[in-house]
Parts: sequence; structure tokens; C-alpha cells
Amino acid sequence: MSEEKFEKARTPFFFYASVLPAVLVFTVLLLFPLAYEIYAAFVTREGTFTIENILTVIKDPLYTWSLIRMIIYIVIDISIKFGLGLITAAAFKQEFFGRGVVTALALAPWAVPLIPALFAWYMLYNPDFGVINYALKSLGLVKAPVMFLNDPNTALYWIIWAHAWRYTPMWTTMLLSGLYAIPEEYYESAKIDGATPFRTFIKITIPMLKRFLLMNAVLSLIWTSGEFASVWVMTRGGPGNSTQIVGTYAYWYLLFIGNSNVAAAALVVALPIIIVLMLIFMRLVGGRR
Amino acid sequence: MAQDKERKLLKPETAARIILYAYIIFYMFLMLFPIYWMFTGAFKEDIDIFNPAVIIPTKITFKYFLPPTFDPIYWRWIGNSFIVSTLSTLVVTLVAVPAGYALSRARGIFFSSTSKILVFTYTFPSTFLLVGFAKILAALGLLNSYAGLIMVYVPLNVPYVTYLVLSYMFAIPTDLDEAMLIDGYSRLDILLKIVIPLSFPIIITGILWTFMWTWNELLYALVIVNQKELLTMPVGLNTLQGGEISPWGQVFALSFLYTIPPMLIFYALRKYYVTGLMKGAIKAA
Repeated sequence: MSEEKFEKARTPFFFYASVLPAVLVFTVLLLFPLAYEIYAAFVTREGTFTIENILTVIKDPLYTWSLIRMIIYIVIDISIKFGLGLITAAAFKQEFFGRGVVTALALAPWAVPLIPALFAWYMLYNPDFGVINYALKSLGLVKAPVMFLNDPNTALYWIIWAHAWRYTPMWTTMLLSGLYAIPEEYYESAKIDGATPFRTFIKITIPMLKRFLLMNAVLSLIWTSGEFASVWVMTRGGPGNSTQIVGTYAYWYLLFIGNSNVAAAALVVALPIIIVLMLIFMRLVGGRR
Repeated sequence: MAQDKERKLLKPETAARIILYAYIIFYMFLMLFPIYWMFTGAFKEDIDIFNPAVIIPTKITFKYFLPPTFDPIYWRWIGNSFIVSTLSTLVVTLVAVPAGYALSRARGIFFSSTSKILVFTYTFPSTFLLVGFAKILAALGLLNSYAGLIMVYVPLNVPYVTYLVLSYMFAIPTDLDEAMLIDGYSRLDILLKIVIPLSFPIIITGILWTFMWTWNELLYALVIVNQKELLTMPVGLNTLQGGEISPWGQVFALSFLYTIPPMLIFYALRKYYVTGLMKGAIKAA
């Protein structure tokens, strides 16, 4: 009894002391920059209140397009990772020759740092000496070279592909471990009942993995919304600003135009979209308790 | 007759096998060819780099790894990346592991709300703090310093790693803790002697996650550092490639040196890393 009391009085101190550094890190070092950024979005260079920065951003068609492209980016990106990942996970779940080596090698893009991976695709896409154009021409599929990153109508999609390519192995692995988490008996009884593979997939796989898939998809949407590197490395936002997204727009305002207040506004205006996605994620997480 | 006809037709199982193998070959080609191209680019003569017909290089050169083509400043960039990534990873681990333990064990409103805030902070995309961080670092005079980079990298990684550790330690039964408390061990002893050894896989996962994240980071590094001697590899590579004429041989050689260390670590610790992340993903759902 007395020991229990002692225990109650003593343990909290250790727990508080253990959590304190982490709490300081994510209040002081994360909330403070966020607060400061929101403040910066609503003041002039001299520090007086203004909504001019917000208006500048909202009235700029380039910004509106950057925001739309950010949404296009995250939606297509997740669709590729999810679609390709699911087909591959279904294939990798089968028995086949060399399975151990193949599944290990298939992780390689995930282990390659992002920037070199983007360089590789940049070279493959090149209209003059890229291998893809060389292959297409050799096979007689195209007469004029495909412009890939040099065509303002398609550049964004080829950037998204290079980005999705790097993260597909992670999604494949995630979906594969999701598939393994479903008890085998479910599939067996479906087979006995004469269900087609497609029907099994719709009726068993999808419902069983629903929350798991939704959570990871929403998390991917949130994390990819701040994408910057893929666009910056491959096109610098070009050609003709056709690949600017919110991340590159803010960076460009901050470093090249040198107006940090408008840069802050560009990020703050997009925040509501991110917050909504985060709330959806919180609901999905909270749903299990 | 009917039997003959059936024999000629492909059995459904055989057809499925053919489709399976065809798909796997296609997929592996898609995943590995760009990496092959990047690696071979580091050893091709200049003229072959720009000739797509040279799929398998016949003439191999090491000149991009040797002076004068290889600028000694590249070693500084690699060193900078190593220092920044290692220090950030160390601090993140030292902060996240005890916090994860406390949050997995302690009860009460303070700890439960901290866990909630934790989920909120780890989902937040780092790009959206760019201007706030940049202004604060400028005001503190921390631009162009390792400290500036680490001061950004640590808070951006602590929440997720703490969350990973927390959810892993949550699954370790508290009976062990209680038995040791009765034997007179302190909470610190329990953490160091029991919980940390048992949580080894997830701690490895957290270390690798942070190391890879910081090793790859471009945006903040571009904003914080512009002195040539202080660049990390992502920025260095980016400036090298972004010039008037890109020296692709050097870009690929440097990419090769930059890719090998994380790739080796990734494959050496793959079992821990992959299962650690997947356990986190599944447990959350």
C-alpha cells in the first residue's frame, strides 16, 4: 500500500522529464515557426497589419494554378502508387521462381536518394538523347521525338511519374503486408463458394483493408502536398511556369523575388486544404478507439 | 476430338502463370532500369553519356572520380551531409525514445493530449513551415551553419519517430515494468535494460527514417545554406546540374557516391526497417 503511494508520487517525475524535450521540440520549434509564418502573411515589411499579401496571392492566376496543380499532383501521385502498388502486391503474393531476390531488388527505388533518381528520369526523358525516345523511334512508334518535360501540357505528369516511381516500392510493401494481414481462411471459403478472384477482391480484400488503405492514402496526400524537390530538380517550375506548385511558388517568392511576406501568404492560403485533410486523418485514427 | 481441342487450348493456370511472369519482368525493368542508367552514367565516356544507343558501355572510365574532373569540394559536400544527417539522427533518437516510452506508459490528461498533438504534428507537411523557419533562423543568425539545418531537421522528425516508438512500446506488456519496479529497479533502469532492448527493431527504423529523410532533404537546405563549402549533397548536386551546361559525367559520379551509403544501410537493415514501418502502418489502422 505504502509502496504504491510512493510509486504514484515518484513515477510522474520520470515520465514528465522524458516527455519534456519532445514537447518542447514540437511546441517551441514547430508551433513557433507556424505562428510566425501566419503573422508574416498578415503584415507589411515594416510590421503593420495588412491583407495585401493575401490579396496579391489570391489575385495571381499563377498562384491559383499552382494550387490546382498541387491538387492534381497529389491525386495522380497517389493513384499511381496505389494502382501499381496493388497490382504488384497481388503478383508478389503468388509463388514464383526467384521470389526472394525479386522482391528485395524491387525495393531499390526506395533506397535510392530522391535527387539522383530524378536525374536518372530527367536523362531518360530527354528529347535528343533520352533512351525512351530512342526506343520509341527504333520501334517506329513515333516520328518526331516526344517532348516530355519540354512540353508545357505534359511536363507535370512526367514529373509526377518520376516521383511516384520512387515511392511505389513502399506502397507495394505496405499493400503486401496488408494482404498478408487478411486471414487465409476468408479466401479459402470464398473459393469454395465459387467466387471469382475479382469478386473476392471487391468483397473481401477491399473491405478488410479499408481503414488501413484510407489512412495511408490520406497521409500520402498530406505529405505530398508540400512537394518541391521533384519539380525544382526537373523543370524549375517551367516550361513557361507550367509546373509551378505551391511549394515552388513560395520558394520562388522567398528567394528570387525576395518577398517573404507574400511567400508566407502563399503557404498560409493553402493551409485550409491541408488542415481539412489532417482532420480527416485524425478522425480515421480516432475511429479505432 | 473434343479432347484434342482442349489440349490445344492454353490451360487457365498456365495462362495465369505467363501473365504473372510477364508482369514481374515488366515491373522489374521499370523499377531497375533508371537506376542502372544512373550507375552506368558514372563510368561512361562523355560521348557515350549522350548516346542512347550505348545501353551497355564498352569503354569504361573512372575519370569522373579522379582530379581534375573530381573537384575536392565534393568531399566537403559529402562530409557536410554526413555530419548534418548523423547529428540530427542522434538528437532525434535521444529525444524520441524516452518520450515514446513515457507516452506509452503514463496515464492522465497531459500525456493523452500530448499523444493527440503528436499525431497532428507528424502529419503536418514540412514545406508549409518554410517561411516561418527561414525568418527565425535569419533572425538568430543561423543561416549558413550546421546548427541552422539541424534546428530544422530535428523538430521535423521528432514527432513521427516518437509516434513509431510509442506505438511499438505500447504493445510491450506493462507486467514486465511492474515486476521490475517491485524488485526495486527505477524507471530509468527499466527503460535502459528491458524496454530499449525489446524495442530495438523500431529504434533502428526511427534512426534509418531520420537519416534517409535528412540525407534527401533539398528545400530547407537550399534556403538555409548558400556558401559553397557548406552545401549538403542534394544542394550541391542541384547546383552542379543546374548550371549553363550540365557536366553529366560528374553529376552521375557524385550521384553514385551519394547513393551507395544509404543503399547499403537500407539493404543491411531492410528487415527491421520495412517491418518496423509496416507494423506502424498496420497498427495505426
